[in-house]
Amino acid sequence: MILRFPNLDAFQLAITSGVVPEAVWLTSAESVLDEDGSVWIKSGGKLPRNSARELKQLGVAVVRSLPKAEAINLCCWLQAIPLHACPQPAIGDVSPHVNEFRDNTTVLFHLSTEKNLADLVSEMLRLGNDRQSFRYLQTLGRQPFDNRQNLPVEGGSSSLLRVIGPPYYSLLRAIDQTHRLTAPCHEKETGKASAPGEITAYVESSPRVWTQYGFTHPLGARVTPPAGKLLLIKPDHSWLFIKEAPFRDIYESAEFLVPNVETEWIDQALESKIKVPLSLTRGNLNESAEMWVLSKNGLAQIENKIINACDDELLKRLAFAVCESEDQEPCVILRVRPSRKPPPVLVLDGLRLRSYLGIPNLFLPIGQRLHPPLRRDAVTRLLAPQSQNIVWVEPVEASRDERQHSQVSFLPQSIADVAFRPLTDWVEYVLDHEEKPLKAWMASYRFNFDSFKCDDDHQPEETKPQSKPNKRLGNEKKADQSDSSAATQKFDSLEENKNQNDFKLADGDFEVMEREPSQLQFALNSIEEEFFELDVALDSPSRQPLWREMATIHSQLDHQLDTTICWSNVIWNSKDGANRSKDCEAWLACEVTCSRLQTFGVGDLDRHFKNRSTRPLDSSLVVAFLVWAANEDEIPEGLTSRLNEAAQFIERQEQLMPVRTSWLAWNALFKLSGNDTLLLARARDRILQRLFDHGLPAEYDMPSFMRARGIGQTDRFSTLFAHVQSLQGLIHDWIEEPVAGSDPKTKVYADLMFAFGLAKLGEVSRAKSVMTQARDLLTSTDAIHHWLGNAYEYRVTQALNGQSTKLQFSDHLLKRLKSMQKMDRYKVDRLRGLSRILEPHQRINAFTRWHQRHADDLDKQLSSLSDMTDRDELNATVTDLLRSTQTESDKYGRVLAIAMELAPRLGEDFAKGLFDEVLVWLNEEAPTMARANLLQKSIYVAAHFGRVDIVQSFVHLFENSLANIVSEYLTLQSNYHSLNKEKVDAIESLFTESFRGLRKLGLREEIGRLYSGVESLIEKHEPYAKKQRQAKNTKADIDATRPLRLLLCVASGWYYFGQDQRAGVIVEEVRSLLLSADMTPIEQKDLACAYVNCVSHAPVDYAVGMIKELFQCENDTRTLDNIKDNMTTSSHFSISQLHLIEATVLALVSDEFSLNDECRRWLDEDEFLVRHKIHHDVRKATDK
Amino acid sequence: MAAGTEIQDLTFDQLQQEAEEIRARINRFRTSLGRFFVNKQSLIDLMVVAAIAQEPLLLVGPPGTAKSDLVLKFKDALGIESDDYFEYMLTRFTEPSEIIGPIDINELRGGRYIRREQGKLPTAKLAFLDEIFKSNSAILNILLTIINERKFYQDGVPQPVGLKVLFAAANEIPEHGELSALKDRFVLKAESLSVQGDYFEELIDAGLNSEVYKNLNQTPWIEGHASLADFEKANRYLTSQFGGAGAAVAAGKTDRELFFPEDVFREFQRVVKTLVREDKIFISDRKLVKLYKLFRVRSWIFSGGAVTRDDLRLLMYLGESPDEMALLREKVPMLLGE
Repeated sequence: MILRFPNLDAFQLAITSGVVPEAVWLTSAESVLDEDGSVWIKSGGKLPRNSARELKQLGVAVVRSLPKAEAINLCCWLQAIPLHACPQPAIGDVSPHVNEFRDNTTVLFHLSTEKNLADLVSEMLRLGNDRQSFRYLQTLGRQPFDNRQNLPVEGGSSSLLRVIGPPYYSLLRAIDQTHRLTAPCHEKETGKASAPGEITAYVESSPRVWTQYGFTHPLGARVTPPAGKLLLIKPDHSWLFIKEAPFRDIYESAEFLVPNVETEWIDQALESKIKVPLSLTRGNLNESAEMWVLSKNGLAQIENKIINACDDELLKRLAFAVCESEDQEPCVILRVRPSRKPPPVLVLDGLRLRSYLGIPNLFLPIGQRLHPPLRRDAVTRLLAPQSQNIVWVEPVEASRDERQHSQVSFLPQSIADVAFRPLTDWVEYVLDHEEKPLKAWMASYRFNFDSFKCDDDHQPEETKPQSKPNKRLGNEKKADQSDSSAATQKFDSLEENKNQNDFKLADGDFEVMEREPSQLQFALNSIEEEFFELDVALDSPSRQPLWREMATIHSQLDHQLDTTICWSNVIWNSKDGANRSKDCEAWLACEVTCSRLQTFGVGDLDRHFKNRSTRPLDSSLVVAFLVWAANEDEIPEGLTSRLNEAAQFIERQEQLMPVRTSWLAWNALFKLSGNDTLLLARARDRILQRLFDHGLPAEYDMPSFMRARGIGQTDRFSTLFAHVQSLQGLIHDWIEEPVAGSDPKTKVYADLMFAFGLAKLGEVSRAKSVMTQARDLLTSTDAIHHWLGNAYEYRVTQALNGQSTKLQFSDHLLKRLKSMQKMDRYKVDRLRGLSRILEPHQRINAFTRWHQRHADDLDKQLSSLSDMTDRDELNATVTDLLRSTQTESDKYGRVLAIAMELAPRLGEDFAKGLFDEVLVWLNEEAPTMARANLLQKSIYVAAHFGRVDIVQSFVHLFENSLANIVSEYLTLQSNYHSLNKEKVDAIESLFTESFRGLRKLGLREEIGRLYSGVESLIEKHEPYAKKQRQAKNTKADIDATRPLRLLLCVASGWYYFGQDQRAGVIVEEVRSLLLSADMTPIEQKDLACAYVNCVSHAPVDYAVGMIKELFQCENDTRTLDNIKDNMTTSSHFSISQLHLIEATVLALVSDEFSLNDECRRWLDEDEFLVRHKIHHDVRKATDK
Repeated sequence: MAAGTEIQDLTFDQLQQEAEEIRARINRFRTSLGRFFVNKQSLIDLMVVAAIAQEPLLLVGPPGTAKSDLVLKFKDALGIESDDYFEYMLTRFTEPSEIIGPIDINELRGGRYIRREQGKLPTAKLAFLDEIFKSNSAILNILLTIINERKFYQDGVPQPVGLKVLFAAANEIPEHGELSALKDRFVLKAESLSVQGDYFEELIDAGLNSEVYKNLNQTPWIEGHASLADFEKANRYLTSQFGGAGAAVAAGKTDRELFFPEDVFREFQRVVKTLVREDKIFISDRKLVKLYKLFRVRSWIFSGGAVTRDDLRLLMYLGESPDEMALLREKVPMLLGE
């Protein structure tokens, strides 16, 4: 069949339209391209009948023979279609083109000779492209489908080089060659038409079909080479089929010649070290001297220029050592003692030195430094390797060379650190004249008052044995020791009939110097100042002598509590040995002296054990005796049989003595009882519970001079009482009862809350009076008022008795609660749910019983746990629940949360097992809320048990989840309703409780990190909201208040760190919103509660003012006007108002309120040390 | 050659007879001059190539990198008289009269706008214009005409200038569009870089010597190896060759076919295309032609024969900006494989 197509377009159309079936055009054929553009095809294939008609429509004619022109052999009809040239950018044309060559274009080079391959490969390697792979090809005879029938096939070998992103420079080898060979002038010159080139470049146009670079086949998509073959298409209709085979990497065929043989160097040790002489060279002249070496007239200089000329404050800051120089003249070395203050400026004639590179025991002359400058550790190793020696360098007289180079040799000198003594030790102030006693004017005593002490929380003093009366003018009874005249007393030996094992103050054993109280007080003040200024940890050994001195002076001034606190600290930090025994003895001596006794023995113990109303003084005396006895080599006779009573006594008195003192007592009992570990463990549990409930109270555990710094007065409770009273009045006026028709008792409940606060402040009579009044008003047939009145009374009584207010209610109260009607129970639970006085730990959900029929079994089981009182039963139930829900992550998480909440009740062993489970669960994917909830409880409990390592793991998880938690919080806030409120509260309490827990463990850095993280996350999330809030004179969008409650938690943290200004920014922002914004009652109330909690951490005066402002009422206008509710409970009380009032009361009586940040940090650090030691001692005891 | 014969009257054969000798002298000249500078031999070679090809050369570099010194010594070594040399530092305020001479007042009275060009640029054979890009538009116009057409207008009548060699210097090449025409006139722009990094000691020694020569008024670089006339003859000789004289006529081939091997020519083409496509370097058609000339001159100086790949290194000096110059300095040798 021979067909004549009028033109190429018709030919293409016939193929693409299917007029010529695929089966036909896939067959081989012969083709002639006529000069007029027509295409002649001679094919062996048969066309279907209808094709002929359609071909005719296309203008295709069936002819008998091909024209007389050179025919092209075709493997298929597509071969007849010539390639189209792709437009290439002209030189200088920098615009992008469709077919632009790209860096990752794979190009296949077909190279006719090996030399071409080598040239091309080396060129591309030189230009940085090694993504090349190659194949060698051997032509096996005639290629039937080459371009011209009459041309011989290229024989021999050729190569294919596949390159990814070849350099354009190399590609040009093929492109230019193509242009040259196909240029009309080429045929004219060579007489040949398009001869095969040496290098041809192809680009893959479709799988296994490679078209010469710069050309495309119009129907290239239809070209499919046979399986296992590649097809290379050239513009001259030649189609080259190549068997497919893997390409080999170019590195396989390339041999890279290393120009020279490798030279191997062998490591050798240095024959000798490089000697570098050290010298002194010019340094900074502006440094202050910290040490002076006075080799000439040292003693005279000290006396004249320092002792005679300077005040003793300066003398206290200096230490000295005296050594003998070569010429027998004493050489004095004067040094400034470590302090936060800058070194004093002293004009002395000697060598002035300062510490070098912060090495505490190395000193260099002022204005000089080491040359060459070495690293700190190298200098230490060379010059001051032994930390117990103080080393200084003295410049040696310089040689001429050295002077020229301003480098001077030096002589290191050293002296032992212990050789230094305080300069004040060397000074003895003497009076030139003897004292001439004068008769004092009688009325002078009227003005010689001692410091006022409020004893209303102490038992009335019993008559105590009088010591030798001091001579006084008149018959004034001695009020206390501070009025005694100056005299030196020594205690005589004890009475003969006392037990030999009793503690006796012997001659010369303990000498008390009675001096004028003002002198003693003055001495005490300066020691306290020195103590305060020491910039070292609370348990640093450098504080020990100061504790001792303070303890001694306090006992002389008859400051009982401070004596006990100071001695407790001395014993706490002293190591076993002779020093400890001495300290124990000294403590006991002081307590005996304070008690106006001469002796104290085992027999005296009975009197104290039997006395049910023992004074704190007597408790301290007993403890001091026990501690002394435990340190003696032999236990005093008769003591062993009294140990049980002693334990009971200590247990009774525990709450009224400093925590340290009580632990020392238990430790002593532990030793005396032959290491009764159970005794110690139980004491630990009680003390930890006490710390858990109250923390370390400033009144019992902080020396008075530190407390005074907290509030400026020694008794902060008086000040707080005044604030509480004034606020009570304000709040009474502020409370707005709902509409008539009901008889709510909001004011009464407010009074009960204040009663609780007063009880916490130790205002016994006032608290009792308020409570009684309020309770009487609530006594009625109304079950709700009745129960709540009793519940508040229960809590107030606990506070008055110094008991923990965090324990469960009595069984009687709980039984009554269970038997209440559903609605009544609901109202009670609503208040319990919000009240931290009634339910400090548990989160009571009033809706639980209403939703019980909708709750799942697990919810029912979990809600019943809070009602269980039997500890073993509770332990077993929780353990069963954990086991049964282990395979269901969601339920397991809920059980873990409740178990953690109950862990403090169930003990440390239970909690230990739970921590690991919680860590595992938290490390898995968990919903954000569940994670936040569990984290909060876990950190709280781990802090309670003093597990720093566990807390840090939780904190780490907390930090990782911080972004999600904050995001969840903000999302929940945007949908503010009761269901989300619980979750929002949970997240807030996560931060506040974690803060508290981390404080107790001294993890300040972690606190800072968490709060900084929250602040920046909120700022990132809510820039619009912040702008809104900061825009003045505009009503804030309610959404703008979303992050404020969380920011208030952060602000509390800043107050804790003393960053009042930073916290103040947030507080001021909230304040203005609170007082001006149009919020729903619940939102305003919640924000106000958070605000009050936050400002309680601020300085007292500021905080009180801010809180009072909220409750101002003028002309019947309340500042905070929107806090009211019409809930179900409003028949009995306004729950919103009570929530705010309770938050206010609790804030006022919290430690944070009255103590400044220094004192808070002291207490936190002290509590951490106490917990640490307690755990350490118990572990040591159990290991034995 | 008869005395007094002008160079333009010399025939190709006459020039051909002297060609080798001239080439040897020029080579001695350039190598000798290089001894008085540190690491400036490539610049001197370029100056020689540009001078023979009578193409202007621009030296670019920071102050104190021997740009002016190169030209001065080059001029001295060629023995150019002061009448045949013109140098000027251009500023924004430079007036045409400072370059091409003041208006002749007497002629002006006669109604003719004639400048007194003696001792100015139009009469010089070798000119050095420092800070050429700081000139104003009036100067630019004059310079373009002189450089391009080798003439300037006296009273509206074009007059050929005697300028054979033009060197210009600049601290930096500005980006202003209005200067692009002037920039394009300089086919070759070479950087004169500081050498203190690699040749500190040599710089101190050579610099000290230079100071001594200056203070003692010594000019040891004037050794009389070659003269400007040699350069002019070389130019004439090569120009004749370009036109098909000599071997080309005999072989019936073009200059390119005789003196520019196919593979080197392909290389030239490839490098140009690569630079244009990959680095967007603009090379005008005019520049391509002039480059050919410069390749031929260089190959004649260095090898006396056909252009080699080494001669293609002149492509390094095509940059129009400091970035392009730095790029070409690295890329051209890399492409050429050296």
